[in-house]
Amino acid sequence: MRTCRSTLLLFLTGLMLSSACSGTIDGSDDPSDGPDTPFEPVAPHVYVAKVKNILTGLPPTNEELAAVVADPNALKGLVDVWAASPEGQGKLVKWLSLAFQQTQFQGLDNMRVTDASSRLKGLMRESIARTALALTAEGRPLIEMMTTKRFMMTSAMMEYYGYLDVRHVGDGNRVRVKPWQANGGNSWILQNTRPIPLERTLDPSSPDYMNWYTPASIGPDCPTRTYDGGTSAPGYLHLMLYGQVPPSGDCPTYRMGIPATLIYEDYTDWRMVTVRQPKEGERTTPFFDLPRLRSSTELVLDIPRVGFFTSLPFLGEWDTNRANDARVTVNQALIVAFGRSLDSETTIVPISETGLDDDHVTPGSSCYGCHSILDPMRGYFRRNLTVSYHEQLDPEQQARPATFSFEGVNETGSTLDDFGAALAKSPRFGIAWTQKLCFHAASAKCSEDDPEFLRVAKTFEDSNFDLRVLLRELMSSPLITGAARTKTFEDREVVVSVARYDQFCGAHLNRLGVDACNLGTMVRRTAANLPSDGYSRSGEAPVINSETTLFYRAATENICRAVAHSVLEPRVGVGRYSTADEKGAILDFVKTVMGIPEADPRHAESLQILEEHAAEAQQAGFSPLDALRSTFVLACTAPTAVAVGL
Amino acid sequence: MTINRRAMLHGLFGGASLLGLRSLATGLPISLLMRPLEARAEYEEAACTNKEAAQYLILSTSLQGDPLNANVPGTYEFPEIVHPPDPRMAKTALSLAGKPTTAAKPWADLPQDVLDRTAFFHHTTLTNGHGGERKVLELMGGTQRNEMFVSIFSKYLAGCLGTVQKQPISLAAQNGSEYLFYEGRALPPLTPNGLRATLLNEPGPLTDLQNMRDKQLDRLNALYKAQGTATQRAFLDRIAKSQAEVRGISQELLDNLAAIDGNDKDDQIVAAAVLIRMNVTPVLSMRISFGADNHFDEGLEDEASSTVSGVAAIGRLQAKLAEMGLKDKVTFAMMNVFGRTLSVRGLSGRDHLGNHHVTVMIGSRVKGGIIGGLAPNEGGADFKALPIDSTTGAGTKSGDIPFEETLGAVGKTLGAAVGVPASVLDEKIFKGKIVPAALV
Repeated sequence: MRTCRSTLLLFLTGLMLSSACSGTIDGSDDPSDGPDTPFEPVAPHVYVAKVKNILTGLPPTNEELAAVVADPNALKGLVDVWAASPEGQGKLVKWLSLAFQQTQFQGLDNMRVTDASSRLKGLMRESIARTALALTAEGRPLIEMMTTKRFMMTSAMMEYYGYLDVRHVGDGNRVRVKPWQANGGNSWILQNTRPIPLERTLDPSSPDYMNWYTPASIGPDCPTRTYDGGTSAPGYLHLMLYGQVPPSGDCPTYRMGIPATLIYEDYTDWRMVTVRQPKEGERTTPFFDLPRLRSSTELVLDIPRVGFFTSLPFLGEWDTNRANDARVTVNQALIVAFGRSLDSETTIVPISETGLDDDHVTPGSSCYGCHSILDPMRGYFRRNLTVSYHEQLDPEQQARPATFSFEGVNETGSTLDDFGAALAKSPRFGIAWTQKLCFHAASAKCSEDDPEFLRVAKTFEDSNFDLRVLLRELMSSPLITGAARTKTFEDREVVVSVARYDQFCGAHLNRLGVDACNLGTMVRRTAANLPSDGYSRSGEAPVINSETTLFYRAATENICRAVAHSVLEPRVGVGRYSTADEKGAILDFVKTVMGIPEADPRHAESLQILEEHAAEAQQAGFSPLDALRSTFVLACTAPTAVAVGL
Repeated sequence: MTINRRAMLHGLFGGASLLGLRSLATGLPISLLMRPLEARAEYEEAACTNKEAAQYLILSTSLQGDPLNANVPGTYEFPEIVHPPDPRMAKTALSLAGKPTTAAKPWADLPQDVLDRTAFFHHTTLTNGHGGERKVLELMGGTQRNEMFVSIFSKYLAGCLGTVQKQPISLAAQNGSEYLFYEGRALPPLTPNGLRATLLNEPGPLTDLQNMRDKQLDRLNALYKAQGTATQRAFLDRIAKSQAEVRGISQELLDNLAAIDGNDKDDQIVAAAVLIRMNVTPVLSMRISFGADNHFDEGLEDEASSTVSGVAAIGRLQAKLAEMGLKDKVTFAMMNVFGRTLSVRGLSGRDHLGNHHVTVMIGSRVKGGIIGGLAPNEGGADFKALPIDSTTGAGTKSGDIPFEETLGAVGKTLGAAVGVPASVLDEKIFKGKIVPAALV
């Protein structure tokens, strides 16, 4: 005890003296003296719309509103229904992808992820979230996302993970090709002269093994291309599966547009796939054997894949290097599991000092606070992965110690499974994930000393971390509805937020069936200026914008104009609305676009305002169509359509 | 050192019980410390006292921690400091407002009238982690309520310049780690190639009906306010305000944005200049790369190429501002999350260095020269910024601005350069001092 105390004091002294590492971690938790105005409960017609909008993007119905007005407890049952709906599941994929930090990656160093289609990137971003939902549907706890080796994948994703296993990038960025063909070869042929069934191409006993046939022209002077050895051979085959013909030694031209071997269904055949490392003498799954991938629920890879923290999006976002040495990877994983970031305020003393960098090992030296905890944890990653997140083959790195010491969890281990198991012991998992959902739904932090917050977190924990319970308890809680005073509202007000990108665009998609933010280049560029939820390096809290600005206002107006042309007698196809039923259209604008059903006390007057605008526009000489489109824009830019919580 | 004291005190006592000690440590009243940025309270806003002095600010910033500090005036006095061997980066004599010095050739290639208003400010950022970007812009705990200095400046300058909005605009933030915060609230970054599409009112019936719609929107606002809570009413007021701000956008000037087809640094330069010309905001951020996170930049080749292109971009920005008649109204500054090691890695790359960074300031109220300095880090590795003599601007061990407060001094001096009064700066930034030697 004396040792610990003296170490703590030395550490604290170090913090006072240090400069180089101080304050590297975001997040001030200054206490607040609370909002300026006294608490006012939010009315049911507002919070029912808010909760349903967040969960599904859909407007409330009269029946739903009436049910909650009659019995506020009815909201819990509605939350269950909304969360389980297709729209609800889609929205949960968005939130979970963000919460597991899967959304911001662009590509992986040296991994040619840019060669993959944008659709594949989208699948990658969704995989972990879909896994969480699938585990939840099986009755598994959400905390299993720390340790799972079963992932929701498609065949195209399996191909890509398999390809990455073959192209090895070492710590020194040296690229080499691991054995990837059954015959030990590293060459293949593409030709369009002699049809060869795919099964023979993939049969190691066939003389046509790795001889790929395409009916398309691969160049007038190149009916046959031989990709012979080199580090590019498997990568070029990977590209060929996507319909590209890379240059070969005997034909230097690059061609695009041959029929891709990967088909549409390879992007949509989501299923749970068990990813494991090979047993003694076992080969990894050939990435190019698409028939096998399509029929399999198992993927054998050398690179260990476990939990949320070894997915391509997670590792791709948090790339590391020899100087950082996977510190960022560890820290971001801690944020997901514990809701805490390593910073100089942490005072945990590690159970082992083996593994600390020499420069930082002295208590009291600069950086000790971070590195005393982070550095021993690096071993879990660096023993098993290179800085490019490929299989670690360097014996020196493989021998590094790995110790986990954070928030009362003290473990030693060697594998990424061990790291995941340590994360799964997080005593803060319930609180961390209740807080993540609070940020998402309330656009602000909930006070962690709020008895209601603690009740929700405990109920979640007592349910064995059933995601459905968390959703039910928090989304119906006054913490989100604002229906009653809680400690949180002594610390901050009930936040009203702008509808951010996913909320604004998602609402139009689910309410009107219109991909509102993707209606051409100009709209896409405009929508890019809507705020999106994000996360930051070292930040415990997500980065959330709730405020309206002139750019938000301008962007939503222009998107609404584009949607008006899309839903009202468009040039191509049939729109949702027509001037032939102007009255019905305006009623739907109020109910569906503005989210105000008849049971909402603001409905009648809102309807009247819209009807008067349509009439006034026509009286001013505008055509019925232009008048109705303008009325749509009015509804689409109305406060309840661009905000959450009004 | 406040951050460290705060860290220690949080670690010892945590939460609310810490307030008294924090008050003692910072000299701020408890009531002030108790109000986080996230609270909705009105921020105290100083009225403009000198419109003539007010400048717009374009800040280039990045969490990559570029080697901006490695090849600027002041670093060529030490033979141990490694510079790229690329001949384009040759040590070259130049003059800053009549003061001779040396730097990498790209800096010397800037027009003399630009160099004469360019200050190279040597200082620490007190962090060597990428995640510290936000805190550096909060001057590492050196501002009231941890407000970003761009927020402090923007709020004051808006009143002087009469801009459409008070908030700064970020044109380059790539993810949440680089967002700007205004009064503690995140500002979504804008994309240069989306600005015109966002702000343009396409001619046609829907634009012709805009005024009519606005009147009905006002009625809807009134309806919801009548039935809303105070928080809801306040939000509705802000919606109405943003709508009025949109109507204040000059459509005539939007065509200047039409040529932007990407989001790279040149697109950001055009967007920043046009948004200032449109008087939209007092403060914008962008990003000009000087080599990024170049740990393994063998031969410092990327650093050389990026410095050449980076300084050239600064030159193009100055030319663009001159072309638009804004040269004397806009101050440019470049501040990243940290500097990079100058000697320890030789030509094999540069690691993070919290002890030394250089902020570049260019503006009509900036006096060309070197502020502060650096010296070998005694008892430690590599180099370290020196304390600063606030009177002369020289870096000296006996300087009255200690090492730990040089970051605050950058903030205050930059604030003075853009016309924020000393009284406001002293109230909002409680670290460091204005360095008059950096100012005209």
